[in-house]
Amino acid sequence: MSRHDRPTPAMRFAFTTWMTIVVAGLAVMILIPLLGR
Amino acid sequence: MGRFVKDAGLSLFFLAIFVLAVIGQAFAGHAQNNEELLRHGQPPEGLWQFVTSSEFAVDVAENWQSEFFQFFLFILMTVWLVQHGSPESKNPGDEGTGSDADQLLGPHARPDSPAWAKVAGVRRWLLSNSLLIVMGAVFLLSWFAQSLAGATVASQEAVQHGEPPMTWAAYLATPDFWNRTLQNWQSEFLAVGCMVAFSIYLRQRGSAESKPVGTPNHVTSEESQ
Repeated sequence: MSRHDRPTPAMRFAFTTWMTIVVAGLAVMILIPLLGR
Repeated sequence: MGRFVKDAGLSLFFLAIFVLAVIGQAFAGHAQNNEELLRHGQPPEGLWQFVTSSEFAVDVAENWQSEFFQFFLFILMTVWLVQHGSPESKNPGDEGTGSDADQLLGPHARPDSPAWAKVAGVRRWLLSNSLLIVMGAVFLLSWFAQSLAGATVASQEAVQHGEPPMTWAAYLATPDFWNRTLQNWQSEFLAVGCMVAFSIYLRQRGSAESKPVGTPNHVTSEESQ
């Protein structure tokens, strides 16, 4: 990030929350069948 | 805190209804699954057992992949194709990836532009395509998850009926895989097409997804005209 960039808590919250949901969801949905569940 | 909630209201609203919808889907899917089990003379499953099963995973994944595929295509095709009059489109004549000046790249970057917009090479290319790359990756991974979970369910059902288990490759050629895939794709493509076309003549006052109410129907994007 540039030192001139000005991310706010609302921006960081939105990006990290949705990215976490998607990555965690994908990991779980791939692991469940791989574990034979 | 009040400022934060206001600034992230759109994300927070969709986060709340996403969580509620997934919980609702878990309860409804669990109840339906138990009805099926009872009909086959098998004991019912617990809720946790159901939400960690491939039955639940395939139902979630088939919807995820189609949503991300829709946005992947929408982001990609709006680079090269336009719809005259639609606020979802660039102006006719603006097709393509744009000049470095239009895109605020390199010497045209602003002081507060992302750092990778100011440099040349791989980092600029990655930033320039990062939204498409991420949406495409989530689409492919969720479609892969749908295929794995769907194959597991199909295999478990085959074994219950005294048939040999199904391989992942064999499942990719089944009507179940393509029925689940295409029934979701068709609705996404319909919704995108309608959004592009309806927004030429229809408005929602105050919405970022609409032209301002008084904007002429023939105006596509006021900003770049």
